[in-house]
Order: sequence, then structure tokens, then C-alpha cells
Amino acid sequence: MDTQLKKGLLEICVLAELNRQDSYGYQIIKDLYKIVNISESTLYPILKRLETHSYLTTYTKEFDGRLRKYYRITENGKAKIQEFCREWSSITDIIDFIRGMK
Amino acid sequence: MNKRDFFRIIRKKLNRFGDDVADDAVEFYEEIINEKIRETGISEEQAIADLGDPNKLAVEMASDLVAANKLKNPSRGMFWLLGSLALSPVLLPLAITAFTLYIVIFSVWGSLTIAFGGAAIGSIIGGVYSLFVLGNIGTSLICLGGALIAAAILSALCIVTFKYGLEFINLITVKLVRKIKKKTDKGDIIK
Repeated sequence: MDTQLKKGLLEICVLAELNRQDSYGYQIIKDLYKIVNISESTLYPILKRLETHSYLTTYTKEFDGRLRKYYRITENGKAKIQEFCREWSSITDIIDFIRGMK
Repeated sequence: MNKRDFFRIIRKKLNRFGDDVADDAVEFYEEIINEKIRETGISEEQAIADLGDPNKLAVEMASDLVAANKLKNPSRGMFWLLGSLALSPVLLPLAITAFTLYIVIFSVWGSLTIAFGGAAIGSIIGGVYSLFVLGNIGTSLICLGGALIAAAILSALCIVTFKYGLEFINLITVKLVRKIKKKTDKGDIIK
């Protein structure tokens, strides 16, 4: 898949994962890996970018005697998902055009 | 490779972006390694091998940071760029381009400085010589006037260099880093 397109989609996928529940690095990879190829080195910059744009916040929690960094979606992040879903209908129009159905 | 070697490489490559940046990356990868070992029972060696080449990871993270303009110091960015280019033969043409550009910038700036600096000093010597040795006030004034013009151009050159030169170098660095990113992105992702 085209890298730029994939990166954009992965950002939304990470937000969608966090929209279900707060999550931590390894869990995010495991969950997303079911639907798309994602590696640690791909996830890290995405998380950083989402944090910079304040689509997510982080907190640390102890689990089983070790510390885990959890990521939590913000209102901004939820709005971003909404925006993506609204845009999707215009994207399907484009895909129909590419397939020659329009 | 064990954890210590793995993180030593990552830290070494990222420390120029500040300790907090390196710490954050190390924390992220360390957590992943620990979770993976605990959940799947694989060895530390294997968990680290799964992450891939730490040099490559560090270059990817660093190029992200440079592209995001998080560079505190342009000259550091420049040396980082040249250093990371040496990592892969694929990047050799880019390395040559970068190196040439930097050399051209520095040599143009250097030769202009030497030219105008030399002209200023020469005119002053000429002016003093014609005043005191030849006793020719007219020639002396022309020479000293020339010296003033050369000095003015020289200082303007220095001001422009400090104001825009570093920004320009930074711009080139960021552009080239984006190119590197495109190349590393292609070979990116997953085992």
C-alpha cells in the first residue's frame, strides 16, 4: 500500500483503538496487527505525532509490578475520527470514479 | 544482541536531540520488549532481534525529528545528516549531493569574505602608503574610501550569513532528510 496513505490510515486506526479503551504500546500493536501490518518503528512516530497534535494524552500505570505507559484519546482525537468518517463518503466517490463506476 | 547494546546504539544516535527525546524512545522500546517477553515467553535476544536493526530504527526516529524541524542546532543537523547517510549505500548519491551543497555554500561564503576582507586591508595599506610615503593625499583618500566600501560589503555579508545562512543550511538539511525518509519508508515495516 502507498506509504503516505497507509500512514494516514494508521493514525486513524490508532485513534480508533484508543476510542475503544485506553491502551499501551504492545497492546496497540497486537490489536492493529489483526487488520494491518504495523511494526514498533511505525507505531512510535505515529504516537508521537498524535500526542503533539493533542489527539491523545499519556499516563503511567503500574501493572503486575512494572510500569506501563497508557495512551488515552482526547476530545480532539474523537473529533478527528468523526472528521475522517465524514470525509469517507467523498473518498468512496473517488474510488468509484477510479474503478470507472461513475 | 542484548538490551544494553541495543539501547546504547539508539541513545548514541538520538542524544543530539536531547536526553528527554532519547529517554522517551528507549522507554517505549523497552516496554515493548518486556511485554513481549512476558507474554510470549521468547528470549530477550529474540525480542530484540524482532525489532530490527537499532541503527535503522534510530535513523528513522531521528529523520522524523529533523523533518519535524525539532533541530536546535543547524550544524548538528548537518553532521547528523552526513553521518546517517554513511549508513547505507542506497543513500550515497544523496550524501554526495549534501556534501557538495555544504562545500559550495562554505566555499562561496569563504571566498567572498577573503576577497572583500583582502580588498579592505589592501586599500588601507595603499592609502597609508600613498599618504605617508608618497605624500599624495588624493590617491590616499581614494584608497581609504575603497577600503570603507569593501569593509561595508564585508560586514553586510557577515550579517546576511548569520541571519539567513544558517536558516538556509537548515532548510537544505530538512529537505534532504525528507528524501531519506521516503527511501527508508519504502523499506519500512514488519517482519
